Amino acid sequence: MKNTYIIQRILYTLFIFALVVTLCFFIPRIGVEDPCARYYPAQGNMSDENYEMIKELTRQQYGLDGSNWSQYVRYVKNLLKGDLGTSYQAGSPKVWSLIAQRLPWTLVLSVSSMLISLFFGILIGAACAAKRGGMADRMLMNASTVTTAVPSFFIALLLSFFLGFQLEWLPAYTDQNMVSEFAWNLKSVEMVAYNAALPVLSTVVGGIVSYAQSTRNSVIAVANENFIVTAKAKGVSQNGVVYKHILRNALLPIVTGLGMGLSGLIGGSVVIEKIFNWQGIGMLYLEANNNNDYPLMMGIMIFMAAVALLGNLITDLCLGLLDPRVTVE
Amino acid sequence: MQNAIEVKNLKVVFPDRGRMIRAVEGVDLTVKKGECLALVGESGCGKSMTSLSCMKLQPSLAAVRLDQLCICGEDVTDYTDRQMQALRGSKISMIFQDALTALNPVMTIGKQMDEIYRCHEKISKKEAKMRSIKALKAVGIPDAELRYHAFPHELSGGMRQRVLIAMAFACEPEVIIADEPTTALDVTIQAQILELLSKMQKEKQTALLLITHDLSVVRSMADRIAVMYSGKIVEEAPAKELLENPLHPYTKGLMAAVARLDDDKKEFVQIPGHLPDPADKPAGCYFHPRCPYAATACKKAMPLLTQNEQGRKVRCYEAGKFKE
Repeated sequence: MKNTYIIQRILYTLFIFALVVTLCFFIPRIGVEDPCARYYPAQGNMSDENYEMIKELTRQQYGLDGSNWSQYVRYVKNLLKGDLGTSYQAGSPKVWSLIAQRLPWTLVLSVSSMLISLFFGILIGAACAAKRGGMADRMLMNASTVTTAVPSFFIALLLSFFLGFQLEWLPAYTDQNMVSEFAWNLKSVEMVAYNAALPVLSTVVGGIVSYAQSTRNSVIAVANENFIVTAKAKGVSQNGVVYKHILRNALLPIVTGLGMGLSGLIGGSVVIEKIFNWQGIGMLYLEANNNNDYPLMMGIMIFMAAVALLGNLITDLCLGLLDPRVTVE
Repeated sequence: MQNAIEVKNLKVVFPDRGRMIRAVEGVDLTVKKGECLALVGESGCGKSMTSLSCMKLQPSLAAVRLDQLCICGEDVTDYTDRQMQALRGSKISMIFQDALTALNPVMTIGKQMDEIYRCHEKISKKEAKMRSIKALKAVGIPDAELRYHAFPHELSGGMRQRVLIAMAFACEPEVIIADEPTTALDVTIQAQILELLSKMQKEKQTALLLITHDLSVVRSMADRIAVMYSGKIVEEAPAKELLENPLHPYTKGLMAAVARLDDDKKEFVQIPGHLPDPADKPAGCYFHPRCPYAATACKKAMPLLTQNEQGRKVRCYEAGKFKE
């Protein structure tokens, strides 16, 4: 892999990030006349002059004073120092600390869902490719039609209704003691797993099918390539052909899929979190949105975007390592 | 002289959209040691399927029947895939048509070369590398040490074809099957590659089964020619005799359709019609619907591949009876 490729990818990522920060800043302000309006105290018998002063003080307190542009410059300056500002929540907690508090819970869901999807997806996909047109293969085809058409939140609703409310096998609603009483012991971990079962299950269904589908397709496509016949004609053994020639080539689209999965790690499960009342980043964002909590909203959006971009960057770099044809254009 | 490869009564069928394609119907081929046999025919006549079947590398859907397959005097008719592995690359090897897709895009040329040596001989990585570089030099690749670390996409088409040739000759096999080795190349490069192939073949005394649809390629290289039409051999003869005096009307048609510098033809004679649908071949001689000399007998039964008084093999009732 050439260094120019790495540098080019990194610069490109930084550019997109700057763009995202700008959009995250301005979009919530579109159509809002005075974002601070809901935080002004009641005017009472105050004179208009005094009230204007109070309003200005309030704006300063919330960091909403000055023009949008000057606010933007201030925000970017703080961001460069790594400061995402303070939330409007009671007690003015730092945005960073709020995100850090919720992040592990979101990661519990998304990482476990991703690992499970990846593991079973590749396994099933490779098996289907080996017995192409067989029973399992045809089932996978049908399953992928269903899971593409049915969004994961719908599966989540079905699961929570049947397994949660009707059969009462698994909790349809997250037990909030899970978060407050968490300690690093077996009991706590068991509790987390028990509560996470349904949310993970509802995202895993689509994940497994999509990884299986892409694995199957790429393995079949690569196995039909001419260079596989060349390898066999050289006298390479069956295992040699599979591991040295097919797998590495078939891995390329899977890595791409994985990269896209990485970008959804943080922001991908807002609705799922809401359905199961899972106190993760998604729920935090919804709260911020309902409260017009600008710093928190922007902070979360920028954080999500940063993770997504980082995921893409890592994917690009991995592809560059795996496929020598990948270079800068 | 011992035969390098001998195929008896090869038949290949495979399904395609619910129909049975009879791609090869009872082909006999023999290539003697050091000889070059050209298998000539239009695209879709079953040449490539024949060549793949000779190495037992046919696609998994295809069913192959054959009475006998001998490679270097070894009867491999009933060999399993694992047994064939030992022969592929060492006793019999193959040069493919499209060198870009025939090389693994994510592996360096060198690694792909080393693989052959490492598969067939117990040698160290270092030794394999040395031999690979030597083999690359032998096919005229400049800066072989540098190219050893190159990926296929970093080489030109001609270079890639040279690499394939180096691979085919790597373990000095007795027989090489070259499936349209120059089709994907520019005409100027074609000549270079053919020259190289011919030189290597003469040097190593390798038997060559050259699959092609290009008669000009055949002219410069082949000792014997077999013409294939719709899954059957229709004529087989020493190259010179066949080119000077084609007996089968199809061969005649092929020759008439080739442009040559030294002839004074005003126009090309095209063979009318096209190759029959492989799932629905005509009754009688497969060529009769396109044949200007077709008689009633031709429509009824497929003629046999018979030997005439001069020892020429041809599959035609009217062979030699017609004049220009």
